Amino acid sequence: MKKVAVLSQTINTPWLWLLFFLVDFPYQYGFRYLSLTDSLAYAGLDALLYTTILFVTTRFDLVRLTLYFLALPYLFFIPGWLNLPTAIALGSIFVFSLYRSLQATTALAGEAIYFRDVLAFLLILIWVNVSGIGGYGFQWADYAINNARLHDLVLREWPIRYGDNQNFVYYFGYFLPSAVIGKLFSIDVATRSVYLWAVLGVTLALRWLSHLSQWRYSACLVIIFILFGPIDILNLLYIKGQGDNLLTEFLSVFKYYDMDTLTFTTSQQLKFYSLSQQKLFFLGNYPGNSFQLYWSPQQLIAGWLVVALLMHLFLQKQFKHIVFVYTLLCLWGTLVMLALLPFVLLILLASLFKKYDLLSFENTFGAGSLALVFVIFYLAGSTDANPTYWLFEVIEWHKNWDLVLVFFLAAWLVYVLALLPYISQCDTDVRICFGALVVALAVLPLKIFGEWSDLLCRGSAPLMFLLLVFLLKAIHYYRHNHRPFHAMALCCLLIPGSASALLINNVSLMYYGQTEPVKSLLTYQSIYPNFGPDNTLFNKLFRHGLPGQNIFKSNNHE
Amino acid sequence: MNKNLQQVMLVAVLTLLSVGAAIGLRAWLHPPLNLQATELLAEPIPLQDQHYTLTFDKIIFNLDTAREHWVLLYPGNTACTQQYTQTLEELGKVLADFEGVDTQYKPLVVFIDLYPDPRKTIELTTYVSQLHKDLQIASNSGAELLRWAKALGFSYEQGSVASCPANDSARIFILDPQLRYIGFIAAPHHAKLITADMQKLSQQLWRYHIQR
Repeated sequence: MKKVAVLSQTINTPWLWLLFFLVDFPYQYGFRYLSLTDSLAYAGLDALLYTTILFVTTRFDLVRLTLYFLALPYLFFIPGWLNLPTAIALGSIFVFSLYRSLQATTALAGEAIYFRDVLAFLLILIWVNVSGIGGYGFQWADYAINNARLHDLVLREWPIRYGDNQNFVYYFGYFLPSAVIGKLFSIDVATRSVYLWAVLGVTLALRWLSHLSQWRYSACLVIIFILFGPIDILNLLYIKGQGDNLLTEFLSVFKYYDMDTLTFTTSQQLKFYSLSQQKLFFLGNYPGNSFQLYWSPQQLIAGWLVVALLMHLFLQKQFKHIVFVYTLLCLWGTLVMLALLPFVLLILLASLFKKYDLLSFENTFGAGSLALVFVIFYLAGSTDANPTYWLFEVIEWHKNWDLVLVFFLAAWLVYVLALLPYISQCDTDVRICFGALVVALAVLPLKIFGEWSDLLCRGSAPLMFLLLVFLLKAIHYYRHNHRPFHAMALCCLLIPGSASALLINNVSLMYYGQTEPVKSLLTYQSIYPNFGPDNTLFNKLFRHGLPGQNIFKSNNHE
Repeated sequence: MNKNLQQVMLVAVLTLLSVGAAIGLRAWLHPPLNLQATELLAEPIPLQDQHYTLTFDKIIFNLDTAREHWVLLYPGNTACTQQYTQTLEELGKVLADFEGVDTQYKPLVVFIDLYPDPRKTIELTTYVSQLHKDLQIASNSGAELLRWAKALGFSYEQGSVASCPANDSARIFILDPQLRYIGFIAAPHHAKLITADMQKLSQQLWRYHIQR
């Protein structure tokens, strides 16, 4: 009771600042080895920023904050990339659509800040820190190119053009606010600001998880979120179990497990094992939350937020800006947007069937104008250079149907089957949402797109987020309806799904501090996905590029 | 106990815990290196954004290529025959000590010829390659070398120097894997001491990664 009472204690902002200061100081002085003066200064500043983020995400309306978060990069992209007529037109439509969306939302009441909120937030700070965001922690290989994108957004004039037929085309919404900060101060400040931006986004995502699942926002919820993922280990056991000596093969799984260092020989072992070992192509997986954050935060965070908003709006029967909210993903992540398309289409179809009114300025002009400009923008890139094929073209189904089944079971089907008893007693809207999610999960791997099956690997992030929402909703329901066995069974189901997360977090902690360099995109060989030719519709119609009209110049010079 | 006093005590306890954790972490994660030959700078000086380049016989040593390696730079004057040959021999021995070691820990060793003589290129190249195959030579124009001299803090006068200056300090400069000038090794140079110091520094690799 005393423990619960402590967690339920409210905490005011001066105490909050002090707490963050006292936690951050050992990190700066002891861990990062900064001087005493620098440590005190950084700890003080960090404490102020963390207090602000926690205060804002706790006390302000969650829906509006999320919309502001998603919309902010557009306020930089529109004047920075588009010519004057297009910027005025799109900017006006966008701002008006955003205004109407903000007015239409039902405010989610803010609360006081409790001690449990602080604990949860501290875990988020640690998780995002370890992930490599902001130049902290361990940066996995993709950070070489992520750092390069931020580097060029800070140091080059907008729109970025490196030379003939080398126009920078990418979904860089995640980087834009930090890039603007970098243009005002320095690239180091920009890099550090990405950390705060990601912390804000992840905190909002956790708040949404709490709201949608009806679980209390707490450290326990954050831990579950960090560790959630597909049950990859099923794939590994199945493949290993197919050898001549089944017992030896089964036990051989554990020879990868180093009891001294708690690592497998490779943390990749679990995530992409199934099928890709049997074929020459790379199938990919529905990676867990930790893997996604460590590899692709620029698409992931917005995907979480948009899918949470979509579910919320659907369940609240607020359809006037649901399409506009979906198109906010345009600048954040096209792959995530494509992966969500079946889900969005199905819930829109359901709403039309129920005769809900979808027609509004923001759903038509707002969403339509965004989609039009960005389709043309991305077609001006190197989309065609990405390999793409249908799964049924490369899988010999009659030989490998069992592997395919295990793959789906491990990724999400086990979770879905376990949820069916709960879903069957939910109301219609929840069942529609769940059905749309299952369809989206099922169809996603049918089209392989990208050298590393990027559509599946990145696009699955918001879908897995929604799957976790349903799992937690079910556990909450069973706990509060005196069915502890059912709740416990679902909780146990989450345990094997945490294996990948434990591995990747362990590797990240072991190599904490190793970061990728920060240098221009031009220094990388495989940069074709970011460059587009000159002779495109976007450059002719919309691109801002007349001499002397570059608004976002940099004060920093290479 | 009144509420104010409770709060003061709570702040005092938390502060003590924080300071204790800070000191403990610093001592545990960053133990003293006890370097024998190396003098570390108080604050590392980053070089990575300065685009320093060196070249020799059409081979360009670009600082970017050295990233993720420890680098030993020895700017020397071939007119000071005894000094530079002694140091190069020691550096050759250092490289021999690191044979078979993971490239992550093996330093790049570069002799910067401050007063290159085109007539002696082949002779110098042959000599250096005999000391160790991985020992590199680099040079550049006087203006570029002056930039290096200013960055690393050694004295350098442009133009040819026929004789060995009295104040030739013969330092070996150390760059960490993030291309920061972190310290130097003053003469006299002993291979075993240099090797021991570089091993300690590379084992503390992550210390330099998390400093920004």
